[in-house]
Amino acid sequence: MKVTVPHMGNLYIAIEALIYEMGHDPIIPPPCSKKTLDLGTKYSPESVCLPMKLNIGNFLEAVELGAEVIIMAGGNGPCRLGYYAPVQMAILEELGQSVEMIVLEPPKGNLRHLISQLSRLFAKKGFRSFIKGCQIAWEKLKAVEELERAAFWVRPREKRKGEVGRQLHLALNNLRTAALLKDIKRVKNEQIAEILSLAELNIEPLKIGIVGEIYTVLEPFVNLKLEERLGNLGVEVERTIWLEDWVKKHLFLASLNLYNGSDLVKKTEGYLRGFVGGHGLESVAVTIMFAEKNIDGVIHILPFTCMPEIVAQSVLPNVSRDYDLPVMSLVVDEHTGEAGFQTRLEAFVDLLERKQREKTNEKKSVSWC
Amino acid sequence: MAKTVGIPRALYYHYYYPLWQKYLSNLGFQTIVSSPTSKQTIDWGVSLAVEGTCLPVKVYYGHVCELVEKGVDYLFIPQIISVSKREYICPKFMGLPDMVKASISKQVKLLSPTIDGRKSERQITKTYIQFGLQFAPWHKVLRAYGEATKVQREYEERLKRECNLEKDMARLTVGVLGHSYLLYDKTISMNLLERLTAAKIRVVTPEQFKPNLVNEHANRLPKRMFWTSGRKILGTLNYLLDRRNVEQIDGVISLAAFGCGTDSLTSELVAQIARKQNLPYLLLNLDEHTGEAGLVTRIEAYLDMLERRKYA
Repeated sequence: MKVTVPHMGNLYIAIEALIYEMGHDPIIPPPCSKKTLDLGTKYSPESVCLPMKLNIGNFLEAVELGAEVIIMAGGNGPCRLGYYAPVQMAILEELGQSVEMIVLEPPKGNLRHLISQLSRLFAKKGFRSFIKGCQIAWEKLKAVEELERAAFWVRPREKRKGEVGRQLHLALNNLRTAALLKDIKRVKNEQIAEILSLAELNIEPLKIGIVGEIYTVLEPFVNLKLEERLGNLGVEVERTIWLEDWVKKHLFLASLNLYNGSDLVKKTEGYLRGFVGGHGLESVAVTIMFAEKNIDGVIHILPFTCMPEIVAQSVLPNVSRDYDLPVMSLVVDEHTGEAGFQTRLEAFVDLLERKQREKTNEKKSVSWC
Repeated sequence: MAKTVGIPRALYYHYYYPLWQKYLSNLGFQTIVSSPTSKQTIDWGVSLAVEGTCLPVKVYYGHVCELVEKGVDYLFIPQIISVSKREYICPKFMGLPDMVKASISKQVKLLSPTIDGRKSERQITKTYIQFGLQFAPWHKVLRAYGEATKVQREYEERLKRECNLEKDMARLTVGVLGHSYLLYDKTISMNLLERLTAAKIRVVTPEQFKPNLVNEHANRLPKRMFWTSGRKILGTLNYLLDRRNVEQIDGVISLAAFGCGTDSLTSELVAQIARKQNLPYLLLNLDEHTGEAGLVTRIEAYLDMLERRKYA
């Protein structure tokens, strides 16, 4: 079977390995591009949120490459993502594409249901191959995120501009071809060392935390390479949405009833009463955590009309005021222009720099007295 | 003197106002409802809300603004997570009290019970009673709540019987699908229902059918719909399609609000189902700029098309 998945950042590296281990042909759609977006916008409902449009674009490009089965995520609401799949399926049907979809609904209390949905994929090489595939995919996922983390740290400190980007690209490609567990570990360590060695040590750059809707945080095409842009402006990026955490918390701990997000609810007391769908609560809770840590500013990114994040966006100004922490919300959609985006980032970084200078001046004048 | 409670005339007010008004006044409050939506309401809302917010929530902000200006003691803004089992309204309803609180600078106390019927309907009753117990002893609360639910039921029954025109008087019959807070707000919907009545069109709305029938028909969707409004709209559509000949349905108009997350998918599903069944449909997307002339032209053209189809 030729199996495909929609893009979300570098997630495809792990999923590709899983599909391959289970004896199927992974068809990875070309990276999200203007063409993907145009296709998606053309065939999706006009006012739906951006991730769905790019999904449709990914599917159509994958089908062109011969994909027969799509693996897609589901959900139980209230976020729109939970109802993407049936609408997408109907759109593909109306376009005359004969393609099937396997929808992975989140396990509510047990993993058995999820596994039964995956059973069609076991048909070829059995359950064992699935376990082995998961192991490899998990290692790759962890490796990808380690590499990204290293890149965030090194980018504002790199000796020559652009080196980290090139090295990260190379590293991810090497990781993609690594087939055995020991290879993955070797490639990971080797490449992390490569990236870290590009750094000029003893620099203390500004730190910006990134919060927001998971897809826009993770997919560089949608956030216009936000993390890279900030790095090039000399900013160390701290991202809090990591798929490794997400899988641990939401797939494993939540299915054993060991995680319910009550720590987040406690954090947001006075701002939000509880879960508002998607990552809305996380965005607010994490901004508060950033305020308590040594972070200079926060960027909140969301797709236009995203329901949970609009709730977060509405209360974030108060968090920003109460904690004296600059927060900027960036709304992205298919019309987001690069120049305007860059200008806003530069202005925000300028503001943070000025604020930092004022702080150090204050300290100096105090000690001088 | 009795304390005043402001109820914004927007969103779930249009479903539950008999219950809320009766209950609050039985508990000893003086209720003040904001005036019907006007251009001013929308302007206030637009200036207070975050730019990507949907039209109905912007309008809600406008109504809150009016009540705050009037100087009410309390604002009644419930956090509505769910009104039926295993369903949601929408994330913004879950954050509404927090969003509103963050945007108003004046100190107004919120009365804001959390209504969450995801597990069972009893939970909702429990919430209302618990809310009432803050203000009155339990026997008084029970009587107040009992009366309020009775008024609410009567209101819902009346909506079911309500019909703007008899079948034999009407030129055409059209299903109008959309949230009540769009349909019954004359400014947002630009008098759509009155316009249709004036044009001798019989209107069928989701409120006219028994909830269990609608629910049953909503279950025919490929995946369980988790938004209450979506279930209602799509269930009604499926029901109307089943009874297409009995009800003599000529077409459907689907109302959506700009920026509404649930509408962006439900109106697409309405279109997909209608296309499959060869039923003419019109999608109207309403926003704060919708020009009346353009809207009227589209409706007229649509009705002309339906008429040609029917009588040609």
